[in-house]
Amino acid sequence: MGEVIVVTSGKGGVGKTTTAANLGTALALNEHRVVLVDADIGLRNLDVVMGLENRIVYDLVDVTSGVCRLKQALIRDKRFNENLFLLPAAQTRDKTAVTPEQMKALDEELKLEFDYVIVDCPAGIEQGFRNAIAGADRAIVVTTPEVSAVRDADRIIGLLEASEMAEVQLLINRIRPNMVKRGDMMDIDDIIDILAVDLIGVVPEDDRIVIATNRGEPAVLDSTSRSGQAFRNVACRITGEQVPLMPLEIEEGFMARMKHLLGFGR
Amino acid sequence: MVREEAVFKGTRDGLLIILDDHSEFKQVLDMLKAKLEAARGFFQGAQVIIDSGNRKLTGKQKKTLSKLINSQTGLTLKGFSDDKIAETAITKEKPETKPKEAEEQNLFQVSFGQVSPLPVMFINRNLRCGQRVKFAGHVVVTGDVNPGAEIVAHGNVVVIGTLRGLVHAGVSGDQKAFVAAFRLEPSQLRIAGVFTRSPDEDAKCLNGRPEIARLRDGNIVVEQSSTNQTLSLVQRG
Repeated sequence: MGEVIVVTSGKGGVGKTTTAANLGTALALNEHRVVLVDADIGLRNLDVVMGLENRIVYDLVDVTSGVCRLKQALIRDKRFNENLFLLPAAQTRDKTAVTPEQMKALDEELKLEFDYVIVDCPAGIEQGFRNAIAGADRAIVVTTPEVSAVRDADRIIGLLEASEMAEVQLLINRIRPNMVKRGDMMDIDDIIDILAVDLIGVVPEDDRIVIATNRGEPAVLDSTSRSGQAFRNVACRITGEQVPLMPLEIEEGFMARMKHLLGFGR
Repeated sequence: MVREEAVFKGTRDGLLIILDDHSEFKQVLDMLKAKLEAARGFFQGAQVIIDSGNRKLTGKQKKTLSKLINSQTGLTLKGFSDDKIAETAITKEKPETKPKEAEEQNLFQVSFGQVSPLPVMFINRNLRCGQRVKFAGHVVVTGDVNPGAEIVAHGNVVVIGTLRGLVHAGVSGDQKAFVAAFRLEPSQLRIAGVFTRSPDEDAKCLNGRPEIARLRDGNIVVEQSSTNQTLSLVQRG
């Protein structure tokens, strides 16, 4: 029996879809059977980020409304053998096309087949959000170090607590260590102080995310990407492994990097 | 509880005098006279609304009452509750609404029996953005009150944690209501009819001691307190 994890945030643009794509891919790389579910009906993105857009035949609404069987709608990602599947959202419908009960039933069915069901939640707190969290066993709340995103994360955590979500963890995305150091950006402690939930990971801002997203290749596949490494660590923590937070200081000069290579310094 | 012929209550719309509707009018009048006499000058400038409960006041009785009120220095009679002037103020006062409101919030609540005339609601978790608690009594939060959260209480509000949200204590006009927190950094504070907001500069709580905000001469004043003081104030209500 697998686990359903919803990736949510309240605010848009903080990296829910990127997080879902990367965590799903990283878990699949670690030989877990994973299905990504795009719950953002009407504004689907996950298929694009995964580079699977042109393979969509049936979608989530087709499954819940009985047009096709679940198996027919699942898209297999060829890069990961039998480990990674995607259930795309419908693009021509809206959030009201599915009910929380239908989502719950869908999640239950997927749980039998997969180790991890990762649901990409739409922004907002309306029906789309309620659909996405309906069948979830745990939630990962994504936020960025901005007051507005933290405020929305707080609201979302309140709603998750009210709906008795068993486990709520926080992922801080797009942190810029240099700005934090200068005091221009909220640091991790400030955010944890307000939100008072467990931290599952911190992902640094990374230009390569943009490139990876446009190419349809999640950053975790790039072994040199810092954000990819951070997402791989989060994926390990999801499975219960203890992985320390990676140091955020990165902007090292050439000499520092040489020293590091030679075993001196930090 | 001893029944009183005339009960005084401060509300946002002015001073509400609730007359007991089981006693003789004469008795009520005498009591009211005595009370007003005793409190001479205390209600300076107050607008008075008289709530006669179920009693139907005759024109003559109303005249007698208005004469009595207006003869007191600084008091002006605004009207009678049956004139519908103070309808909103009075419905809020009614204790029957208490359990309903508490149920709505679906929160753990314990009443403090005889310790304080107002009931106390305990909230044993953080109040997060978008969550609102309205209660006809005191509110104690063992946790944080985050920005975007709201507490509206008829009595006092005590936060055993950090208060960053909005609090309105003494919402029905209780000038003695206070707000206390381990770290008092509210976005906005309201006590009775007075509103205030945090200064624009980053005014973080300086030394980690609990602070109390209360009304002094019509302004909200924040002062430090020791934990013992805070607790004894809660007990006294």
